[in-house]
Amino acid sequence: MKDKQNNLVSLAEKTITYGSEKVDQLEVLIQDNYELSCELVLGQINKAVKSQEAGASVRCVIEHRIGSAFTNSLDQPTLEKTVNRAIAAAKASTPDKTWKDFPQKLKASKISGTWDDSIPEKDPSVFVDIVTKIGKRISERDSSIIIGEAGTGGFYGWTAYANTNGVALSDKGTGVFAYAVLVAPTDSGMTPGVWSIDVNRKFNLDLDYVVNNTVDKVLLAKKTAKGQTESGTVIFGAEALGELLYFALLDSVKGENIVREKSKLADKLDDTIASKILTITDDGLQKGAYATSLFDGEGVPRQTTSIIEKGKLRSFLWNCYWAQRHGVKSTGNASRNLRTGVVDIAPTNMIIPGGKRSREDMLSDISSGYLIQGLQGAHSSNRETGDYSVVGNPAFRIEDGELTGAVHGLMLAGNAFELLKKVVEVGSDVRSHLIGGSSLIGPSIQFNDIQVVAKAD
Amino acid sequence: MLIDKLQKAADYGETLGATYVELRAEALNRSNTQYEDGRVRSISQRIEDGVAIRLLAGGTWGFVSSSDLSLNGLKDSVKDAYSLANSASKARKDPIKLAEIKPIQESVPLKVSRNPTDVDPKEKIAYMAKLWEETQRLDSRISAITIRQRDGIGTKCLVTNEGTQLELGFGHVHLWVWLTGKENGKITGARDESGSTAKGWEYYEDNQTPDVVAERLVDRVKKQLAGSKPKPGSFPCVLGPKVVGTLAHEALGHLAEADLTLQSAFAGKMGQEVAPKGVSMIDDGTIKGGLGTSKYDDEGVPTTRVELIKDGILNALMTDREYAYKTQLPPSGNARAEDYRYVPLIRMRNTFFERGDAFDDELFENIDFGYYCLGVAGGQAQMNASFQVGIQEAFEIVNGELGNSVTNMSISGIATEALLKIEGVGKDTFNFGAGRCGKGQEALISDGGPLIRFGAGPITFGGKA
Repeated sequence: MKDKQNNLVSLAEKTITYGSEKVDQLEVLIQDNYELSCELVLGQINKAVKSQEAGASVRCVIEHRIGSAFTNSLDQPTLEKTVNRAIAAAKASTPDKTWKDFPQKLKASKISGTWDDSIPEKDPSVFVDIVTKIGKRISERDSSIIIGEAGTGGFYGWTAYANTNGVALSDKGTGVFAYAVLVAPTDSGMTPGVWSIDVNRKFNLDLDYVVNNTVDKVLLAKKTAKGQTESGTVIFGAEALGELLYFALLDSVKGENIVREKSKLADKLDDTIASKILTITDDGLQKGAYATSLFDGEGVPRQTTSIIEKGKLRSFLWNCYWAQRHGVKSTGNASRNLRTGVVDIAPTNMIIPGGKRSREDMLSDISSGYLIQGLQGAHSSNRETGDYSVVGNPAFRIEDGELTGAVHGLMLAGNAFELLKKVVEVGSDVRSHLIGGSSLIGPSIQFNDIQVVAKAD
Repeated sequence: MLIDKLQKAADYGETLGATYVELRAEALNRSNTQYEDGRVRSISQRIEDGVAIRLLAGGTWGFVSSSDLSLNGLKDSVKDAYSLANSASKARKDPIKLAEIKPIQESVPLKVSRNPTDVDPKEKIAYMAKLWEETQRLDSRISAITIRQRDGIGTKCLVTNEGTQLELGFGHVHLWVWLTGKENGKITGARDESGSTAKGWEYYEDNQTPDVVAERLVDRVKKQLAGSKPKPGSFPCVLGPKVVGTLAHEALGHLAEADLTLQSAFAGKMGQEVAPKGVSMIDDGTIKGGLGTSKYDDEGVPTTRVELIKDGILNALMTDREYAYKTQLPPSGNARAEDYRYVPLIRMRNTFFERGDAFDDELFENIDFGYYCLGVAGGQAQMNASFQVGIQEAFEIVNGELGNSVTNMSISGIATEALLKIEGVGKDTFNFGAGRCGKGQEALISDGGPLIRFGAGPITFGGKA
């Protein structure tokens, strides 16, 4: 396994040696990732899948013209051809006078909890057993539940990065996942699909969470409650809030949108933009977290960046290119699409520290409100204005401190920037959720004065 | 010959004991360009070969994807897939069975006038620069643009141990644009998507020229900047072709994908009335030039026109071979995989509502207050038929006439309830909209429909009081 990592970084360095004389600047990011998984469909084992996702993305600069190329074959001759294709792409491009350089050599970060020797050794039968157990436990809880899908698997892989500034890095990572998607028939049709997923970088899955959290939700969704159009109290589960923040707010803290004057937060650094009880940190070094790694898609060491600290906007997220254009340093948030060559800015692990009370305690004090544990349409939010108009699904009615059933077709409309100011309590139920390729490690959060729109009878 | 190697590997799978062996090999030449505010952000070229191996052993699927197309590599992957299926099958009770099909041997080349991968990247960049200039010329409030242009062309070979041998040329050109406008501190944006799987670069010379795309986008940004916030609640409305198409795809189409039907609000509804008489909804993989059109699907089944809702009755479902057997419906040619890295799933192609008999004017009559929704900013459906569609272009309807434009709105409802409350379907022709469906993997699709009127009640408008 150690050889694999060394071989990959050596391949990256040889690629730089091959191409460095032909261009002004050159970089290569190589990944070799594997996944073994097993899936249950409609309650029965349906398939076992083994996939390899290998690829190298080469980017070069010739007289301020930038070109990229991709290959899925990781051998030296093919990588050399890929360098030549990137050169051809650069020559066809137009100069970008704002371009400066690839990252320099920086002090390496330290991370832990991201590799488990046992995961690459797992036999498919291990995952078959786990998913069978998930299915059995769900059916034992309630036989009317339909297991739309359930799955589990393990992943592992290696990454290497090198550039013409002498940077040569490598990293490795493992993880396991398990999930369940459930529905149940109701008197009038079907519940919404509800799901839970657990991901761990070590072979240590929380099957109790996957089974019980999903079953609890679907059983509650079998009961129907009535909603009303109002401006009211809403508790967002972290999985739902994470989606809203990701699609309606996050673009405004990306450095690119600061430079391109597309962010309403551009001139708000150090201003109070949220409730004082809200803190959001991007932490690419969080121990054993889903998106933790040694370096980002441009070889810049991951770091911890405070975005909102007790309500105050503290920093934006940057990759190398946009940071250089703005005269600041990269925060290690480059995200590279190997195939398209686009280097974007993306969060790693967004951390929202928990409060004192559990969600149940928060609920018990609410005479009328809603608990939102999933959203439909967060991706259609206006990423520039922060305006959202989404459906809470599942959306549960809270009456006199109790969850009374699911409200079908409950819409929530408003503005994400205003939402930040309406936080009244942060729960203690901190947990990791996957949001758009990143993770949110956070709790349920209670908001007041949220516009909800109920479906007409 | 690649086909011969694939056949040898498929036959090898059979000797191992697999009851069905399928190899889908792809060789693709692709390019991606991203252009922003007058500069090329990224231009990337790639040639990618790979193979998907799927087989049934012990009544369970084993799937392996690989970039090794040598005969030994293919055989190793077949062996891996067999051992995966075997391992999983120990926990399966009823073996998966497939609907019978007639194996076809055919070569179907893709004929385009201008192969997009042969077009000089400079020409593509010039197109994008022209589009950016044109938007700025049309409105001085335009402040930023992001253009993602991609294209690809290649060959897909599908070989099975049943005798299917297909060699299919395939490709696409696709353009995604996000345009931003600013005025007095107000920032807003509009998006546009266009593409073709039947034409090459000529699609952007003949149909989607920079001035056409720019005009469409600037018009949307203007309306967003001028738009007022919508009222929350339920109102009568008229939905335009793009919104009707999204409703057909998101809210109803997914429920009629057989793998999801069994766990959705359409479960047990086959043959029942789900919409008023005269309402029909189709998924058609055979429409000439359709973005989701293909002669065969990724299991070698000829694509078909599936009349999902026929005159108000739930009439058919989209199937692959596994679900065709399970539901005893015909294989409809809807098995699609994004590329060699993915297992084929039941996916839509070109989904639409049939035209009705109402004149457009009639659809707006006697609406005291409501909304006319035209442009879409994405949508999402749920298994209980709950749908949400983001609307980026809409007008108020006041006393039967179009009023102010409205911004940042979305509509929602329970599709199975909304369908039954359709009050009128327009008779005019419509254009299909280009889209991408993301059921765990991407598929290029199109959707559309005539103007459709819904009475107050089934559709909720999300706005701020």
